[in-house]
Amino acid sequence: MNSLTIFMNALLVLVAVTGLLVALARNPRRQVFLGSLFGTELALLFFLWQAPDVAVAELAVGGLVLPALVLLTLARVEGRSK
Amino acid sequence: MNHFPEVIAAWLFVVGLYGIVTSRHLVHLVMCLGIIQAGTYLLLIAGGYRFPPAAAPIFETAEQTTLTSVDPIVQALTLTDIVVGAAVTALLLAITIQIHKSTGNLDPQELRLMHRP
Amino acid sequence: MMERFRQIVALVLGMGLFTLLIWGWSALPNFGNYPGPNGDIVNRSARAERQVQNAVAAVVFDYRGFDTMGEEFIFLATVMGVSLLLRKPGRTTDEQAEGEQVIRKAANQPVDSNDAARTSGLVFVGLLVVLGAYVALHGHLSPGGGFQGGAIVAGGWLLIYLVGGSEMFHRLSSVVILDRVEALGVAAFILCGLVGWLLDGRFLGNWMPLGQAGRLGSAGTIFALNVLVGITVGAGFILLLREFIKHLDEVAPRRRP
Repeated sequence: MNSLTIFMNALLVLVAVTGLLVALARNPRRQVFLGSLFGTELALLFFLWQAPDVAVAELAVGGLVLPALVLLTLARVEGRSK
Repeated sequence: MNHFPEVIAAWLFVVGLYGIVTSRHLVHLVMCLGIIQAGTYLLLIAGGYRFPPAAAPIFETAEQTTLTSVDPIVQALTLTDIVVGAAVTALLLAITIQIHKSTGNLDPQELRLMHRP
Repeated sequence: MMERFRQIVALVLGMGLFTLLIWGWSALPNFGNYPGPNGDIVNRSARAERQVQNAVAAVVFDYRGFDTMGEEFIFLATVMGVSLLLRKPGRTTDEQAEGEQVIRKAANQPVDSNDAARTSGLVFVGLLVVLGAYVALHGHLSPGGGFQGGAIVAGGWLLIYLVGGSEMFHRLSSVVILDRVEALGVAAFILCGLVGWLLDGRFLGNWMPLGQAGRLGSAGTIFALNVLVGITVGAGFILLLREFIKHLDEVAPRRRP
């Protein structure tokens, strides 16, 4: 078990914990930031797993476009003032 | 632990499903769907991984194609998966906005009891 | 009480599903021991056959190009669906008039940034658009590709809204242009496939000159389809963001202070 495997497994555990936090967080705004962190961890994991194309895609989509859409939805839905 | 990524993928799947079933806010539900999709990405990419010195399927010189690499087909599937996941999430969020506009309520448990005439 | 009951049932069934999934997936090959053979075949022959450096791009746009076409359709339908869902009933269906109306409503929105933030932010817009274009253009040479580049460009466009305000964003994202750009991207994709059918005997066959691997103008239709997908995905994401932002303006119009 060299250091790379240990790091990968630690990152996997971190992904699992972040995923659990996203599902258990009841406040959607907190969820958005956790979700963005989740996407970044996934991108790092994909990069370690020798999948750079997928890592860039996950960063761009899960870290940029999706949190923006969710925040815009929340602003629309949760109140009359942005 | 030679199936650890698959274990984490199953964990994400079940955690996301639990979040969807017990959700009280439609936006929270949509994000839990994203967790499930992330579980499938993990399963796919982990299925095509080889230990080092296997490298990414990018070959600058012709000699590099003779070296061992990871599976590019699974990465292509995951790429499509990610884009379609983003599109589905956007559509679900638009539906959420419309539901809020017409009922003012965003609780999935309340919305099931629609007694509209 | 019902909620607690539902939580417990979900927890128990979730644990059952978890064990079932693990038991099923433990039959997969061990992690790190991908057995092949399809991936190895593609890796060995993609560079020689198609003069492309990125094997994933070869799979996405050449060997499995049909799946990418289906995914383009899904994307197009989704953007269309979001536009239809977020449309106010009874509004004019003339895109030009609707665009002007949106800009007028957006002009009421105050801009939430000072001049310093706006200037530096808009510089980054240019950087992100160029980065996205670079990633999309070089998809067949290095990690990246059409989807990634399009998403990055859309992210840069979002920055216009964040620092430049709603009116600037809407002036720069005209539905009339973006709609047609997106549709043209998909149409050109299919046209490329049809030409491949005529010339190569296979739909989406690689019929353009292959060139030499490592140069920008190599890999034939992989390069062209990459650019087209980048245009479509970029325009599509910008349209999606525009629909959500437009809806926000309709709800909370505020006067400039």
